[in-house]
Amino acid sequence: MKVENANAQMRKGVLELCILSLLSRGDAYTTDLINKLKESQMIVVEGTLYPLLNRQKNAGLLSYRWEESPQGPPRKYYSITEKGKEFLAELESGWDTLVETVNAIRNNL
Amino acid sequence: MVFHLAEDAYHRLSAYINKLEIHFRSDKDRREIMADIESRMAEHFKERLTSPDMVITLSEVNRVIEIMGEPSDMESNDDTNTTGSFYSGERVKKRLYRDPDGSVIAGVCSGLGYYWNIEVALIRVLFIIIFFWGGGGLLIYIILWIAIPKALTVAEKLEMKGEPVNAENIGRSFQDE
Repeated sequence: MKVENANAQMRKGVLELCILSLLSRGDAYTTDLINKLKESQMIVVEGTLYPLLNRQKNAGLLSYRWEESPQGPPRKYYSITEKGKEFLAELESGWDTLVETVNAIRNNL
Repeated sequence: MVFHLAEDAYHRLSAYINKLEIHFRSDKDRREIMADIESRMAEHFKERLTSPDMVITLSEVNRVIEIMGEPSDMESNDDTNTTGSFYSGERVKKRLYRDPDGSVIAGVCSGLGYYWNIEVALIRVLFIIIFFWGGGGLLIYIILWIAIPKALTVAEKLEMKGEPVNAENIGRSFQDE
């Protein structure tokens, strides 16, 4: 097992939380999301994001609308739904518990 | 938007798009996902273009493919696995096709052989026997010829043999040919 793979798997799990969290602070174009997630090294390749956004949209956590762009074709503009906000709150509390538990285990050993 | 691609760049790009289409083939939103990915790739190409008729080279296509990533980096929302976040093992489902590679007439017997996992020769002998018995064999053969689609793409040939359709197997089939 490679370290990069293990780390990638870990990031993948919390990627959903990060997308919802970014959108909870305001609507965004796919490209904005990609740039932010790449900056923080949450995703390595851009392709990872598209199926995930699609699934979150189908689950009713996100919605998007088309917006005209000054150059090029119209772009998708994503926003978080009420259901998405509730889901995010649950993911966040789950994340907090996880961090606490993991830290407790690491420090006690 | 129209792009001009060098020939090798075009082949690389269409092979990549093909691979993605196969990866997302069981996703009900595959069209939407593919359209999203393609329009993002177009954005990347456009950024580098200094004039509208500049030709996109192979190295440029490779650069964009590297940014987008391989199918293994993208989870596919298989209809059977809509809740799981992690990609579960690929199911192998055999499909009945006519086999153009192992055919004598139209590949019906060879396709049936793969489907039932029986020796092709046995099926051929059976068909010949029914043919001489009352002539029904020919009619059955012709009906099957019409009804069963021919395995045209590499993905269909893998489905015919019951092998998982993934990038590795497709790569292998290309090498075999």
